[in-house]
Amino acid sequence: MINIALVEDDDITRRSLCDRISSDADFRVVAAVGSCAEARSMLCNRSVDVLLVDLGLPDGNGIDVIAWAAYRSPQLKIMVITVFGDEKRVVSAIKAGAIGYLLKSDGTQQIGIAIRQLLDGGSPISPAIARHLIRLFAASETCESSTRSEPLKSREQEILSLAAKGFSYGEIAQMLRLSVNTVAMHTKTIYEKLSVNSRAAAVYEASRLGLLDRI
Amino acid sequence: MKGFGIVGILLAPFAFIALMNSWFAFVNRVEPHYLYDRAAVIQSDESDPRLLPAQGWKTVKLPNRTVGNGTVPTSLWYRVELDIAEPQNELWAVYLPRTGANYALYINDDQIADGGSMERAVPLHLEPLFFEFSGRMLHAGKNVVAIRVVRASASGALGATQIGPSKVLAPIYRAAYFLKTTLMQITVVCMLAVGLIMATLFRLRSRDAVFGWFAVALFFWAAQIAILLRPEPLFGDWRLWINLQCIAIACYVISLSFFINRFVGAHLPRFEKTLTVWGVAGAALLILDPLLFRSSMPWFFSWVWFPPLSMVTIYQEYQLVMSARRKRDVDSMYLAAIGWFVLVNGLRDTAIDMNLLHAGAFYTSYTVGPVLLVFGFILLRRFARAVVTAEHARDELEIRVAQKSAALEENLVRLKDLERERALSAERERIMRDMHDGVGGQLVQVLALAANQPALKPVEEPIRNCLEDLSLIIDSIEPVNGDLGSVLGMLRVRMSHRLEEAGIKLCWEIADIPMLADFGPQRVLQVLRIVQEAIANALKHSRATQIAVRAVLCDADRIQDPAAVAIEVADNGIGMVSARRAGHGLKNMRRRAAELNGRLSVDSCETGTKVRLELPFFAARDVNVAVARS
Repeated sequence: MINIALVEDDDITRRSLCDRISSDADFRVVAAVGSCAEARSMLCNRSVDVLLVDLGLPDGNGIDVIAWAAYRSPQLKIMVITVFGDEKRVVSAIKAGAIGYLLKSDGTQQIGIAIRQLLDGGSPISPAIARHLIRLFAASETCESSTRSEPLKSREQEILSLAAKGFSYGEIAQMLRLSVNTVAMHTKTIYEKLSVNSRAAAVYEASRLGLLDRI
Repeated sequence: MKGFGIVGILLAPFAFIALMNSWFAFVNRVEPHYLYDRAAVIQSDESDPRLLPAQGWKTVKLPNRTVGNGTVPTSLWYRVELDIAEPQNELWAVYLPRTGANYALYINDDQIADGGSMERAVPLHLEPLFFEFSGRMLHAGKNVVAIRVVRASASGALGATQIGPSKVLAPIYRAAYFLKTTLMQITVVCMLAVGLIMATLFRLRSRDAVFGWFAVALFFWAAQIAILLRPEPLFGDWRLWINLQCIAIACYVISLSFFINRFVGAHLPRFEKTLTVWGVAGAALLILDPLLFRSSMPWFFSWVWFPPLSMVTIYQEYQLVMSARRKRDVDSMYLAAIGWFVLVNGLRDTAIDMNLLHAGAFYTSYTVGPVLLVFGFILLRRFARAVVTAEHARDELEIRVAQKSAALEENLVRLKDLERERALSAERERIMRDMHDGVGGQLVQVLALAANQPALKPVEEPIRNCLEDLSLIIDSIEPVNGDLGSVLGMLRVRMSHRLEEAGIKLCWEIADIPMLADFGPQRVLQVLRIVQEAIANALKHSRATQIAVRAVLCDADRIQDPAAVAIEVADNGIGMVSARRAGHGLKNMRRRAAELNGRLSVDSCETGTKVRLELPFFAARDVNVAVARS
């Protein structure tokens, strides 16, 4: 049984999501809360495998919850829930530590696939996200060394560029003669690099601004 | 050719000496008829020829050199007898090429010329002298020309004397005067002028500071020649006057040596220090001796003063030659050549002065002309080079300014792009927030409500379509940067739900397509709508089991056929059975394709339908990196 916690401020949507998740026999919603504060206290008290977080919360941004949770328990799998899965929201969530996203309108089946993929390794990368990641890593390669992120391996780049064109994991695996699991592993690595790099960049930025000295 | 040049340079000073020899020979020519090379001489301090003793005269051959004691002025009387057949009416003249002394001239006991004090000796009186007198002073028969000469130093008293009609002797005198006096005066003026130019250069251009030393050398050299030209000392003792000339020569050699060391880049502080100490000590001796002891010491010059100067000159010429061999630049070669030129003449003069060579006049002063020419040439070359360098620098600067402004302009364009991108991004963010918090969230709410109430089931499909439409709009306003592949990819994601529900297999064949130029939100949305419509048509009407979406870049192969991007949606359905039902959608697709400047073709039969959209292709500049950084 997989313990899932949900952070979503809209009651109707939250209830509906709970229903949709719970209809899968493997999943159990252990908590469904509507604010950052509740989310934090809930995470302190419950053992959770998967955390689903909406971004626009009444007392703050879901990104903060994601970053806090990712820092607190690195083994926790986090996904962001959004209406459209648009680039900016998903990428900022991934940078904070999320691995993939769910659309609020996704049905039970899709939610099940996405969560299982998440637990197996990586979550699908949407073409827009892949496009963003390609640009981001390309740009960091031309940056000065201090802010340079860990570069992508050529295999990871191949996967990203295929994902950007809308190919599914299965298709990518077939085209590159890899197993689907290997592709998922690679995408997980890509997510981690992005998250680690953005954390490193944040530390660099903080030290540059003198914030770390004050702590 | 080069060897020829070197031989030429080596021979040049000797050719010059030969030239000067013949010039002096021309100037020193005599009219044999009017030449008096014998005279009676007596040493007497008497100032009136009528009071001279009758006895004690000696007959000597002119030029006559009498050795005096060197400390007090020696007064000599020379008497030349002139036999005239008949009285003369024209103007006559006495021409004394070189007295080297003060003089007084009497014709038949009448004084016709007086040159300076008879009480105070002069050191050097090198000017040729020419005195005209009326021929009527001469009478038929024997006439007496008496010349009194007062000189200080040992050698030289009266040269060969010519007495005759002025019109015969004047040209000889004028030629000699020009060579011995006028030319030297011009030389001094030129030296001062060039010296001033060089000193100015030294002040203005620190890179040419080395020429300051040459200017100093030139001033000393000019001073030495000027002293020779001045018959009467300006002040004090005549010995001091002579010594000043010798000090000027030494100063000239020392400053020239400084110049050469700096020019060839030789760092010889001990050598220069020794030279300076020697020069200062010698100069002090040469100034104090005549003032305190009133002694004259020609041996000092011949054996102590000049030989080391000659050695220094030889050494410096050696340095110049080595530098020219090393550097091989025009300036060094010219300097070495002119150095050799002056050195040979200087050594010749020194040898004459030491009585090692009996060759007549000193020529070193006459080498000033060639020296100035060479230095003038070097300076001109430097000036020309500086001008060329400046022009070159200016041209380069212009080019660089042009490059910079081009780069600046490009940056400006880029900045504008970024600015536009940023404005678009802000706008996008605002719309996105609105959609998320507003209409998007509400649609999701409605969808959630509908899922639980069977009565609302019919609204589910339209609401999903609505969300899909909104998603398309959102995808179109994302920073796409001309990436058609990802735009189609997002469409696949948006439509996958419907395709899966319909159980249709999707063949996804998107090739590598370079980034498109001019692929803004509006065009993106048009493309998305066309492809969405094509897929939706296949879903709704074709009863297909399989849909293929392809995108490829068709390279330009002919001029009529420019590069294009082709997007195809093909199904294996039954084709468009009802043209009327498909008509509306098709018309919309065609309109959108026309707005994209593209071409839409529909190929439909019983085994399937193929919709093909062709868009003109223009590759985008690579702005990805800049945009991603922003």
